[in-house]
Amino acid sequence: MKNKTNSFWIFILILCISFLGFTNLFIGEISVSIKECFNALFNYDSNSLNQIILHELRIPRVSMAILAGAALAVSGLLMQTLFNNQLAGPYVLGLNSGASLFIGLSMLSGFYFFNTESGMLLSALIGAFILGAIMLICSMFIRSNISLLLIGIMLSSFINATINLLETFAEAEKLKGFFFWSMGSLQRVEFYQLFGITLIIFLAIMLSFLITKPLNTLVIGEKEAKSLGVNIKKVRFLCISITAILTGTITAFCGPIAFIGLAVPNLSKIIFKTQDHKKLLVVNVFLGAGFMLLCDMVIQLSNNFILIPINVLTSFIGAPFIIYLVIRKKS
Amino acid sequence: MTRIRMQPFFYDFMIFLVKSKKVYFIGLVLLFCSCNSKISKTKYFDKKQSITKHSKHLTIYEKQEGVYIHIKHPEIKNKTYRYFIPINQQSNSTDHQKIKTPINSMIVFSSTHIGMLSELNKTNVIKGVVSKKYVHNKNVIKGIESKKIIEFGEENQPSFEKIISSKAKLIMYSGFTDDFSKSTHLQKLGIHCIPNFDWKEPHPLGKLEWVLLFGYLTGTEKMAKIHVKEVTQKYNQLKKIASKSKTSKTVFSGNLVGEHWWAPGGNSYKAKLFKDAKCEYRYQKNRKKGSINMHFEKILIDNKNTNYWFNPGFKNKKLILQNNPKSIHFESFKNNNIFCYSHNKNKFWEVSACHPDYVLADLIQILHPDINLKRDLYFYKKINEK
Repeated sequence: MKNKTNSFWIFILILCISFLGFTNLFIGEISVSIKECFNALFNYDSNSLNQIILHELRIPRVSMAILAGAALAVSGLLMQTLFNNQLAGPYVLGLNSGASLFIGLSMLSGFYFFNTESGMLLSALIGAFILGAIMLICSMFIRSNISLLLIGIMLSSFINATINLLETFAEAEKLKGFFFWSMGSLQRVEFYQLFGITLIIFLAIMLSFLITKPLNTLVIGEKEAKSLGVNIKKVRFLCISITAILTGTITAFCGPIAFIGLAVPNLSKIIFKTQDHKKLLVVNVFLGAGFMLLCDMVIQLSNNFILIPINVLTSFIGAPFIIYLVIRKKS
Repeated sequence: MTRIRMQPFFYDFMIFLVKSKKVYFIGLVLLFCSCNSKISKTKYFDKKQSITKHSKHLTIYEKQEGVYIHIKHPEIKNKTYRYFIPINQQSNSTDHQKIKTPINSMIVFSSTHIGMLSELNKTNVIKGVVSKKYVHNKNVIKGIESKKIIEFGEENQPSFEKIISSKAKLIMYSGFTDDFSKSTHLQKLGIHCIPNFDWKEPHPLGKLEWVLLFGYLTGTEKMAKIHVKEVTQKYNQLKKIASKSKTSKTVFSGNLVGEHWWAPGGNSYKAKLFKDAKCEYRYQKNRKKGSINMHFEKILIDNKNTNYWFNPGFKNKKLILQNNPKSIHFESFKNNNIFCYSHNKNKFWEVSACHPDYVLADLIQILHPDINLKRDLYFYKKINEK
């Protein structure tokens, strides 16, 4: 019975994503037809303005919203399970900050290699992975989840201070570029990059499906999981690696996007009331994608009055949600 | 004790006034006096008598007792900075800050200020600047290298010890945020802090008139007046020449920063230059004086077929594409019709305010090939592949 209910909800989520994704393609300065959408995908004419708008702007943006939402939600879920703390997430634990620091180094230092497309991706991945590894090492020595969380927050502050220092010495133009990059954007991705990003995100999410069983046992506690024969070190390494890949890739292409990784996994647990990671992963993929599409829709609809950066909107929604979670947990 | 004794007397006096209805009469007299003083002040400082004709924020009045300089804050209503340069040292003004001129040592916080002092051959008064990397003037660069001129960094976080040790008599700042930090303390030490809102001027000739401020401060007002007069004449002549051109091209300006495209507003300094160069700027009807920001989809729809793209902020097409690969869809990009002053930004920021005629001439030369001004481009350069 419960399985049927879950399938129903997942079906509803898929419907919502399809609706939001499809609708977002039609929101903008000019109206486009379904035929033009189809042509922009399969029969692209670079001389038609409507097709350029679709091919170069709207389709990459909508696709990126889906990919970023799914990737960040999954990485948040993995972090929450690994640290057994519902307030954990790539943003809170400093993985985003690690990626931001390395991107900051690339953008503000002007060191040539990092200014290339692959250089940016690589630097974001390295940054996220280093921070993930530091957190992992800390988690080996520190049992308390609150202490781990505090370390994550402190690391984020330390990195932000380093970024501030870099900003002090940066040229005005580079500083302006980095400032806007840090606000996040779904618009930076090119159509030709979509395939590569989709492949990376898809493979990383698929990899996370391979560790659903150990993740389920981790929920009841590390000791219990060990006694059930789970290789904790291996699971930790995989969790951190997957999260670093997902967060690093999204940060490289969209900038840091806050709170999705924190809010969506919690929302999924509240709605579906399950700890089965097979289901949770599926739900997080769809719920994350849906949430980002909704944010994108709000941004596109408000474009004529105010230009809201994606990171600002997700923080506006995410921060009150965290406050709600903390109050709920306390009571 | 004194206060306690004074209070009953004060109340008795007030009651007496109210009872005898004299308070209404006194009130009316006071009201009349205040209105009268306002009217007389307005008459004394009639804007029509100002030396400046185009500036929105700077007015200068030459009177018998000296020169009055009023700098109106562009964003705070009714906030005006008032300065008085006396002819005789005895003359005073109660509501104006008295400045003894000529000023021989000055800290400037903008490249434009350096340019204006350079125009008056007064770069020798400069004792401090923001940074060497924002300077074009060779004398100032030499001064920085020989440590005669101090680098202070951005104007919102200067070192006060450095300011005091520089022995500067005046600080000219841009006022991006608010008053210069600790300006009242500096004032007590005899250092004047004067804001310069030339960057807020919507008219190129209004921007030019700020050179007069430097003129009066450094005792070179005659030179400044001649410069303003000559450049204004040249500017108006060029405007006339452009108006006779048979061609009219479409232009857009700015570039993508983050997710936003920043372009000059329709009432801005740059939009005015486009208008005077007789071209069709896409956002001329917009009423903003500063920059406007738009999302890229709108920019692409509005400007896909626009003839010219100005001020993308990069030296070559490769860098433009690196910043925004979608730039390739602009016809101006495909046709190599992109112009910018990025190859020497410092030169532009230093000289352009003093020479709007050069900027206008550059624009006319680019946009109207039928007009031959017999000169090379001064600020602008065509953006090439590399």
